[in-house]
Amino acid sequence: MDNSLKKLQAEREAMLPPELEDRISQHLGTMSLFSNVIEVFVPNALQVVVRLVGGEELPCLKKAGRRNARTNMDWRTPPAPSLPDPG
Amino acid sequence: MLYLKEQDANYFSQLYRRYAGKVFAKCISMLGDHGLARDATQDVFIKILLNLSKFTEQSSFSTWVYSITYNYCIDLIRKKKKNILIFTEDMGRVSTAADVEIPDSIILEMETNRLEKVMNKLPVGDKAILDMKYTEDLSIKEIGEILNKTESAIKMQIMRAKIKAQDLYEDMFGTEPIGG
Repeated sequence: MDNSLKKLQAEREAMLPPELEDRISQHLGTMSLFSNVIEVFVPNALQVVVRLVGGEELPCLKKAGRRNARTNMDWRTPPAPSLPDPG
Repeated sequence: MLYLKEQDANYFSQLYRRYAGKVFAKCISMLGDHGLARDATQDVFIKILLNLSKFTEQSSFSTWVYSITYNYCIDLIRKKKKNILIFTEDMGRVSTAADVEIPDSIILEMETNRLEKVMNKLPVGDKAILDMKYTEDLSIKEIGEILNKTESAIKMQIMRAKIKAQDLYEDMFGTEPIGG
């Protein structure tokens, strides 16, 4: 026969709220979704940080560099004598 | 994290069916509030599922679950009340374990309504240690592992908890017989 503490435990076990299983299940579902989202984005984010900290030139910065190079003029080189002589 | 990756609902429902009632009962016993116990059960289950990979099989799974539940509730109680007494301190009456032998019937044969009232007045650690010993039938060694105490300290603590329970019973119900 069960002792009094075991009887008390059984009475309390019977008071378990029925909605608790769904509540925990939903919470775990949300956490699972969140962990999947993090797994999709974090590896790339980490890669970018690692490359930046490591000093590697990122493709996006390389493109910007090339565009700037095209627009920058080299003022040390004299212009070509293409204009007619005014004299 | 393994659970979250695999997202296997079977793990959860099996664990829930087997342990939810027990965890909830322990939380009510330690926290003394239905709402707090419900929230604590939810948090304990999430902890269990997230830490499944850390279970080392050095103890039984139910002991591991009990340990997580106990530590969670103690942390929660300590956050609310900083200087709370977890265990009955030396009451002056008890000098050595051999001096006083309190029979288990003090706890085991008490009428359940009275037992509930007595248990509600006991310090939370005493409640938990009596619960581990007489409800879960854990060995002294297993209780020691959960509470991180030596076996002799556990034996002494069980005896103090029984004495405290007896004193509380006498305060509340006088000399009425234990069985009601």
